[in-house]
Amino acid sequence: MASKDEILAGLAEIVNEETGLETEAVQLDKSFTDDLDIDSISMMTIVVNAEEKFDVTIPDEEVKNLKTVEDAVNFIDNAQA
Amino acid sequence: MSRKVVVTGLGAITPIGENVQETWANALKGVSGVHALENDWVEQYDLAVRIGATAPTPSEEAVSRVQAKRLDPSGQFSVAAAREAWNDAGFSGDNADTSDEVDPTRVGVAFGTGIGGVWTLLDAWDTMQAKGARRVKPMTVPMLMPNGNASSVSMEFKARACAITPVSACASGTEAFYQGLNLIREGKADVVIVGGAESAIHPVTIAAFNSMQALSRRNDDPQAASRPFDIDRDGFVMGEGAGACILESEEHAKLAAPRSTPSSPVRVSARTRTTSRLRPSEMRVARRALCGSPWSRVISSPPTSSTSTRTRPPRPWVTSRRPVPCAPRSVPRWTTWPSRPPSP
Repeated sequence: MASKDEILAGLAEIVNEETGLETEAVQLDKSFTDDLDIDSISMMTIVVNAEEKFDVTIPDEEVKNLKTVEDAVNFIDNAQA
Repeated sequence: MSRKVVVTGLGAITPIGENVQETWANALKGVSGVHALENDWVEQYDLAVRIGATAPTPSEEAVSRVQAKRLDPSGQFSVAAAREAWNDAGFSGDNADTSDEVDPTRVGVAFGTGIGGVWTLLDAWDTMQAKGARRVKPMTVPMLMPNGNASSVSMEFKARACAITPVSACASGTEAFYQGLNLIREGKADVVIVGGAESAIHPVTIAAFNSMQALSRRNDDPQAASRPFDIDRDGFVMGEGAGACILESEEHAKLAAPRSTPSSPVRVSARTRTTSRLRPSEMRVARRALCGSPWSRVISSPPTSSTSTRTRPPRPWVTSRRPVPCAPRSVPRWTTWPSRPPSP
């Protein structure tokens, strides 16, 4: 089971792969849309890749609630438990 | 239909070159891009056809790492060829928004493909079988749809007049050229990025085309395969790549000059003496396509398809038998429409 720091680092790698953003730009307080400029299709790609990487399921109806990186880290952390 | 249209930029990524200059030089030298396929799936499926003409992967300058992940291989070829053509046309910026010479709302795209993102579709099917439906990537649809190439090019170059996709088998790229021509003739655009792309060398497509007896089986002599107009032709070879042109209205090209790397307008000519003949219906279509252009006065028998598939002998009701003026002994086997050599 990954720690929160490991989840953040893993998410940053996924975002980098999908968008080219530097991993350092992916911080807990950043908004996926407003700060990282991630569009809806990229967001869904990140979700699919995160599910595979962390072996969790993120229901479609839950994705709209993942507004910040911290929201995603917390959701994945809880889903692993 | 009175506006004159000129070609101001060329781009290509082909089995015999990473760009127009290399492709043209190799074509003139008679280099063949056909070779034995070394993929594992050739043996795995015991394919009867084991040859193909693969193109080089576009450089990262042409297609970035992130872009490549969001594009089918045919989309990557499209963007790479369009990028070379755009640069060749000498526009001052990387796209229509940043180029002073063009109005983005007057720049269009017409990019054809015969099959579209078949690799993306079949990869997604493999993923679904191996990992389940949940793992199919959200970008699958934009990558596999046939208009994905035109969409990608229009977004890359901020072309906002239109993005259209002719899908007409091997003639898709040629039809895109014609559609672009008409967009300018009809005053709907001043600049159109036209082209065609394909990337479908996949075991399924090879098996399917082979099933219909369309492919050459010269596995022992790949370089002699694909012989359009040759009496010994035995089928075509699966190839991949893209070609692109920048079309402009003559007045726009003149107004926008001088540019950093101005190109001479290309005079497209059809100087092929064919051994095949056109059916009356094909002649009607060809004449309609050329209606109003200066070519219609010099072409009596446009080149036929150069797919090198076997056809029946000429029929007695052929309408045009006059040879085309200035017919050379041969044309490069990779093209139907000889064009100018690239500027040095």
